[in-house]
Amino acid sequence: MGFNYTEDDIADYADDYDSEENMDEQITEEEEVLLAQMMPELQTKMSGYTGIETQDFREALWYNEFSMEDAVQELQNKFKKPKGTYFLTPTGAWDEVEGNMTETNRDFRLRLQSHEHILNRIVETPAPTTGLSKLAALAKARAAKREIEKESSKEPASRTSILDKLSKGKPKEVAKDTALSRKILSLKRSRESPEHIPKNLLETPREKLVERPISAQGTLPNTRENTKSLEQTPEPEGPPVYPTVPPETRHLRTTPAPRFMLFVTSPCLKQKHDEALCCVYVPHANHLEKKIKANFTQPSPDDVVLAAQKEAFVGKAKVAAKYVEPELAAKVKGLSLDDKSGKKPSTLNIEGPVKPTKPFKKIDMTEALAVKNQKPHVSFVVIGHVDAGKSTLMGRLLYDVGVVDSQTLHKLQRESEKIGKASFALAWVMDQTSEERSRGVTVDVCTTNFETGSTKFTIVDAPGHKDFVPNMISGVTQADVAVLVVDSSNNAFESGFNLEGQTKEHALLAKSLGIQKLVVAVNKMDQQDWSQARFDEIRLQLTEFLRMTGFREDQVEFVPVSGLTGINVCKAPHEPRLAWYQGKTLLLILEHQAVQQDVGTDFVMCVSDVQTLGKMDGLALSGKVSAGTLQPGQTILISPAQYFAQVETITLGDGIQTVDLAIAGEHATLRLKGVSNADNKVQIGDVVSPIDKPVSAVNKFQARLVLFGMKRPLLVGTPFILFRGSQQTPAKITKIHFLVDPKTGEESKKAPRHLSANQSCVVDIEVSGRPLPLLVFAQSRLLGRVVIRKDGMTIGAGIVERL
Amino acid sequence: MKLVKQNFEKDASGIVVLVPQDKEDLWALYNLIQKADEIELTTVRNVKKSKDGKSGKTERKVVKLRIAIETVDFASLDESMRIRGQTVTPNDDVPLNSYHTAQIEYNHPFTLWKPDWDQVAYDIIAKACQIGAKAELGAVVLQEGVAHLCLITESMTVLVYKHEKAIPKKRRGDSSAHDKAMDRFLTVTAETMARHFDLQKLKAVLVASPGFVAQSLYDKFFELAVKQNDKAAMAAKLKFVIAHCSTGYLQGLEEALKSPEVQKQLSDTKSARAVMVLDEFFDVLNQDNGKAWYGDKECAKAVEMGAVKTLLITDTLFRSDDIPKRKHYIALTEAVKVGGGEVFLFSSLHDSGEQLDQLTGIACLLNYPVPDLDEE
Repeated sequence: MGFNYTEDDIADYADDYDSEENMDEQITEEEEVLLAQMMPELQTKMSGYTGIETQDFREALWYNEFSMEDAVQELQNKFKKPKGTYFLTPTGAWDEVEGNMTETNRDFRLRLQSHEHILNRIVETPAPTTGLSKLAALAKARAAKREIEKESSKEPASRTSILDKLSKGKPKEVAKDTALSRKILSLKRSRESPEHIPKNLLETPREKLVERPISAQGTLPNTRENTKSLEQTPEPEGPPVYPTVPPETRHLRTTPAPRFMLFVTSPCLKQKHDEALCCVYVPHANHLEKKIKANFTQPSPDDVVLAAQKEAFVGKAKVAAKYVEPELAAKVKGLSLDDKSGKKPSTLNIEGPVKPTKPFKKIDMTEALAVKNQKPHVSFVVIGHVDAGKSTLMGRLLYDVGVVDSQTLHKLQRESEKIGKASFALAWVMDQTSEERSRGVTVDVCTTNFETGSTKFTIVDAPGHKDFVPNMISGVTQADVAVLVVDSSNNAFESGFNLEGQTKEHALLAKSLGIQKLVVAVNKMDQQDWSQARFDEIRLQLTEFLRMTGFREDQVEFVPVSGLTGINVCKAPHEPRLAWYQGKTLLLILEHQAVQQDVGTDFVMCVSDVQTLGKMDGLALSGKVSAGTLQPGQTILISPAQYFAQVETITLGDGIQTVDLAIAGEHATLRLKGVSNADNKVQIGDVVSPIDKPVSAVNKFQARLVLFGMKRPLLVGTPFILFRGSQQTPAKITKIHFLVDPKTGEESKKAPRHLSANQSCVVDIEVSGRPLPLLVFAQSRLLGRVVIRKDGMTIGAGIVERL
Repeated sequence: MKLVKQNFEKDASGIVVLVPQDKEDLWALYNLIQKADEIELTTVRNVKKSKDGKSGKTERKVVKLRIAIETVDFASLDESMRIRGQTVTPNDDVPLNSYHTAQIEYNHPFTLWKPDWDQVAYDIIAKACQIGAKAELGAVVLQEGVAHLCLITESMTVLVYKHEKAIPKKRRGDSSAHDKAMDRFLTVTAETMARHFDLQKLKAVLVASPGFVAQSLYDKFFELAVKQNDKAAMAAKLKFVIAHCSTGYLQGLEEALKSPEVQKQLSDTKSARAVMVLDEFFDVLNQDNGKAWYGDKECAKAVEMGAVKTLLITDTLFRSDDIPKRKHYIALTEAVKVGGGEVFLFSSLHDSGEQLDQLTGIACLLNYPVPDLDEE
């Protein structure tokens, strides 16, 4: 009989076993009370010493038979004061730094690291203050600070002008979103509210800088909202928050020193970074306001002292940065996490001249944007029912604009004839996997880039088959414009257009995912003898449907084409039977679809492809930049994995050539060095953001849903698949808040027990598995949209209201 | 499970001697054993030898103990069940009322005493003792880059393995990265299948996916089997069922089980039936014709009216420590059966049961519409 795994519960034995041994050590109740009474007094007496545990206090008291003097004596002996007096004379340490400035860069870096050691010690060792109260310590620290301030005021532009900007904020942004601004104001108020903050912290504007690092660290915003509020209150162009700092230097984050730390991006450090990041970001996700308040209602003595120490170093390191040789300064600038440096060229010059030969270039943003604007970038996705001829049409387009040469096409023709599918040759330009070719359907999206005289294009060929709607959704999220291809053949249009057909589902999805412009390509018109009657019939039916879906009439254009023959695709038709059509060709229409891009806000990109470069060499993340701008050299954060890395190079489209700037609307590939994806943490659908503007990843959020036709009701707990961008994840509703009247938008009082077809509602959605990077709809039109599907049907779409 | 002996008193208390044989039995026991029951079994305990009041060496000793049960823990994945409680009979080595945690072992008999045996408890034993009813199903739901491997028994779905991998997209002119990653993904999944699925024991293996991924996995699996000359795998080729679902996440499994072709091939397994009944319930609920209701009060009312055609209830409700509550639900099921209705007991370890749990755990389909059942 093997009872090997049986486990004993030894609690009943352990009890008397322990109590016997500890008999003489036992503290009686009276002693406990006495201890509690004396503790505060002793702690105040010993407040100059840090690192003394409560246990030490207790022991000291107890062993000295509750004599206060003896206990103090013992503790003082036990916890020796440190010899170093760095804390008291930060200027001394900084003098040292200053003295080294003329050394070479390398030496300087070494120096700086050694200083970091020293500084680490400063924080670790107790403040050397016998008889020096906390306040006295603070006063001293502040005196030191003021001196530094004097020094730093000599610096150009940034340091002191920052203070002016503190009060100014950014009126533009405030105006843009009043709700947001209100929130910011309340945050601001809570932060600055005088009764919550010791007066001495508000005395001089300089002190605000002390205050800010705490707020930046303690409540590091996981949402955009707060990032914005941070932008508004403290210096908009000052040293940014440096979340990349390894934990050991966390407390020094406000100093430029960590910039040097960015040179160290070895994998082993990375883990630490991650931990640091996690501890900074994650826990505070949803309690920002509360946290901020909590942080400032009671600034603990430790915080104050720490802040003073930090401040001392800010000054010191600032001076250090001032003396960095220009070349290094350029690098530093490039490494800076401050993505605003990209937006406001004027701030680029703060830290010395930049040599354009360096990899991390300074560029004139207005000029760069103007260059980009000369040739707008249009991304379009090709959608429609299976076998409508999407891939063929795209193959034709690519062939006619010269991206695919006749040699390649000839080869494809031979191959397709070999297996008896001659008409598929053009589609094979896009459908490359053996599976797609042998089965004759597109499975996954295929992105291709080309340029015409006036426009740069990215085309996304989406699959039409019902099973691959998830891939199609991912394709739609990479586009600004959709080309809905419909088969004009008899019955084919009708079958695609009925309830189960994908023509309707795709159009619905395109609308739900934020596509603003739709071009309907009525395909295979050659088989219909270019009949105007057929074209009009299809146009009539579709217009009515698209109007119901929510497309305005001016958002939709119709064009008759033949993908196989290429008539009216690129070249103006010489087809006499098409004489009735006076409009533009498909390509011409597409050239005039330039969409206003959101360049001014923070950078956001959804990853639509992850590629590993070599074994350990790094990652390449591709995707469409949905907002903002990015330059090589900036450090980015990948959510929800919380990986970060410095962008090594950026390429656009299919290009091999690197660029200095990627802006919203472009399809960029970011190469990151020193990040491996061996653990599959980075996945398609993840979100890339600048490291100081992280996008929060959540498991639960509130959304406003519109439900489509459903065969089964949606109940609390019914599992479905949630799509956000190219990410998909299983999810369920955890709470139904209330129904919304779809016509009037009014909220009904009663929360229904379940949701049925065509209802609108506000619900809580929980995502199982990996957290989902999200922004509320007001902040991002892309990241704030979700679509839900169940059992292969799209059952609803919605916007994120609250995280 | 084997029932060795049973002995019930007039006051409905009594003992059974049971021998558990597989993890399905453990689940049955988990639903059967309740707080305040007593269990008598042989178990190992660390016993301290005390000489002259001093503590000496501890010794592992096999002892027979009778324990008044306080908690029961069950982990379906590692097939272990632990019972914790206080001893009720003293012993040379173990004093009265000392705590002990015992593990239920396969093929070792134990005696269970319940103060009050009811029909549900007895049904659990009766069902667990039917050998023919036990069928285990292997299932893989997958899509490009996501695969879930599960074992499905009568009463539980155990997720054995989850595989997620980012597959690079194809590019125009070059799809090699995609093909390579996809091949790797399928190979890993197929190897995991071979490792986790005992093909001789499984009744069938369900492979479901959107598109052609399931077929590719099937091909890959047998390609590997041929390569490694795995005769057992090749012999089991007929057990494989390829099905369609819309997603590679776990909810795709339910979708696949619902499809008529799969239902036909998997014969009439209980879990598949439960899926169908729940689907019918949702369907009727969507029609909103007052014939489908859920919630304790509503169902109780419907039962009272004798309107219930089918009662859907999860085992979570019977596992309640609250005796009157348990009695209440037993009375409900009895009443439905008497009234000619059908009762479906859902296992909360299946996805269907989990969904029903979210809907208060009890639901009913009525013979005729009762529109305002939820109004007082």
